Amino acid sequence: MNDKLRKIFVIVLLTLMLIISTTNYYGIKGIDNLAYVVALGLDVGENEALKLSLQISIPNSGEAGSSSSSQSSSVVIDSIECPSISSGISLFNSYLGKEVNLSHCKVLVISEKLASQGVSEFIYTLTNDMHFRTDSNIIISKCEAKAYLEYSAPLLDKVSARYYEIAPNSSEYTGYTESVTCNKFFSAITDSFSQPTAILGSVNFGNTQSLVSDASSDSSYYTAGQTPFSGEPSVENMGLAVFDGDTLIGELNGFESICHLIVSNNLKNAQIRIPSPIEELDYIDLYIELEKDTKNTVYLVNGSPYIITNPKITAKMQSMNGNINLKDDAIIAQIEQSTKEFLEKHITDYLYKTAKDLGADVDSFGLYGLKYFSTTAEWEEYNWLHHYKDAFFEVNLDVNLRSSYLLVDTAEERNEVLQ
Amino acid sequence: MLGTASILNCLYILALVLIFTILIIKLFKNFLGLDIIDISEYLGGKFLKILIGILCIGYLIMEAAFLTRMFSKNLLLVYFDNYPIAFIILLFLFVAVVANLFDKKSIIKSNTIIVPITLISILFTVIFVVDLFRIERPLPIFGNGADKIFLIGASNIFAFNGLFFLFFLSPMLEKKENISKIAFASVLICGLFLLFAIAILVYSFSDIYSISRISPIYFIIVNSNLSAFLERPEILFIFIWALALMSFISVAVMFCLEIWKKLSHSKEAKSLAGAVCAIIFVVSMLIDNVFTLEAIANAFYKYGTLVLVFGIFTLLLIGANVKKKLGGKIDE
Repeated sequence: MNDKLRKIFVIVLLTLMLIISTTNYYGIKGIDNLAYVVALGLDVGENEALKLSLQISIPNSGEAGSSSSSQSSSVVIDSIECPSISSGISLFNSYLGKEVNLSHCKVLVISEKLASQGVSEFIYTLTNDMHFRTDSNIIISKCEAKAYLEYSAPLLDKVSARYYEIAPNSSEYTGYTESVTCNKFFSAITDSFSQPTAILGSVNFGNTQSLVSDASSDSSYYTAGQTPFSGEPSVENMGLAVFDGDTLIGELNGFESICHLIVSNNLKNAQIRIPSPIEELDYIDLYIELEKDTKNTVYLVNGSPYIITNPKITAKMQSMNGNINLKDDAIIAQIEQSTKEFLEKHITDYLYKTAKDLGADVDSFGLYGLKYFSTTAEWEEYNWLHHYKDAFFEVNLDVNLRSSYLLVDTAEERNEVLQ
Repeated sequence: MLGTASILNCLYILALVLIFTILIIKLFKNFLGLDIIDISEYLGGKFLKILIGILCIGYLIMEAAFLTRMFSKNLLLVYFDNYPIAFIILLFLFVAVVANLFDKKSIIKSNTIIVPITLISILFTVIFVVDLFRIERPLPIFGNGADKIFLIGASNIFAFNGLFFLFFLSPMLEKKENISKIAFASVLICGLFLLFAIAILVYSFSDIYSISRISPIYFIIVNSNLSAFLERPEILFIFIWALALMSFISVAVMFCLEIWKKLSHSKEAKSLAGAVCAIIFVVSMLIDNVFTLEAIANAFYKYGTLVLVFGIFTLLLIGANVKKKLGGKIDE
């Protein structure tokens, strides 16, 4: 083939390729053929092993206007009894007349009842699915997963998918739960040095105000479904579900979640309420964040883990009253000491709860114990997760009360008079 | 097999490869400007030349075929479910045919663009998984045992199968004496990026030891924080890897044609690009079952490279050096 002929051949081929690539393939799958799932719910079935619920987005209906119900009009929720997720999705395909697609699924909701039987089969199956996004959040619902989906009301968001994306991130400014994704959960199931947690969710029916014990109680001691709201039933995520391997074994309330985030170095911001050391206030509300990464150290003492955790906290004072001088070093020191004692006690209680009551290393302390073993065989023989029950803890917390917000000294004039 | 000792093993095989490279450079000193085909002719005459030539062509065709098939299979799995795999493979091979119909300089020049982009993409992923890094993850340091790292793990040297091309580079260089610089630079860049890719995996994820996935680097992208900015970040990377694959097939076909040219003493072999790609296509489609394909491909990469590159080529060079010391003359 001479040069000219070769060039003509290449040009013709390239032209053909360009023409073909811009034409529509007859088998192309688009929005008309696919049903996009935004949330997937799993319950124990009555007649079959599983009840699969899907929240499916209806394209463009997010712009359709407001809906009187608390449920967004842009979604449909259906459930089906099936022996497995794959067969359930196949049945949905037949029922809907469209192919169910999980590529926009933002959240996986599993009922507490099903989670206590073990979830590894579902997690492995979904991780094996090409379309399912492993950065979807995993929620353990204290009520039925279907009910959770039905009451998940994007009141401030028209698009359900966006709502599911944003809602679990509330942990970044409350600390009451943690944004746990499926890949993080999957990794923790397979790890030999940690146990998984998941977001704890429930439907709050608005009749929980009786649960408020007294004015001094901290709003963060609730778990999902207990927060004293009044209003339309709606879902809430509060606390964490704790697993032993793939089986649900317990839960942490909102405050314990804050302790978990502090110890595991994941706290962004949180609000806590501590007993006041100054007479002008009964309780002090503080907005806290981690000043430095929490340093954890593990020693093995007679075969048992001895765990030292050293969090460094920065606090901002939210509560204010008359006659408080935050320029006074003595007052600052008192508040810092009170915060330190309060948090140290609660973090210690939390750590002993994970070790003695739950026997689950949800803070991945095992990672810090790996250095004592030279081979994987030695590590596996030691069995960290078994020995975690024998762990004992030391918490050395450091608090730095950095500032208040707009008010600094409400006793200035009085101080001047006294001087 | 190596578990948490993957990084240690990578450093070990990098050291082994550097020693091997020093040896090869020393052995090549007497044969500057010749490639392994010329050296085999010098050592064993036409018979050995043809035998080694056919082995090399076979190796390149098999490597290109397995790589194309595996990549196309993953591409289908991710984006083109139920589409015929032959279309995807043909697309890659078509690019290789067109590239080889032009001058080989065009392949080399396009490589100078594609290779840095591919390397930058690996560096780029680090930024988005850096917050997942935990320094404790590659512990226990000796993983499944020192014997697995230093004895059985030594066979992982096959990861540097790119050394194959080193045995053909000398005649293509303007300054023949630059071969040692090029060899060391290639091995170090290759080793660093291999180490880099393994470190990303080992420091960021702990379930990689217990779960075997279709593509670890795809797993990194999907699980990185890039998805906070892009809905489907892997598309960008798949595009870059597709370019890299096209580039590799073009280079493999180019070397096949160069070897064939030497074997057949023909002036031009470009017109055979289509034929070579047709063979690659047939080989890539031979095995239908993906698990069998993966097992055979992995066995080929490992044992094919160890036997041909680290075994036969080295023995040929040693033999040729011995012959030269005994007074054998090289035909110019």
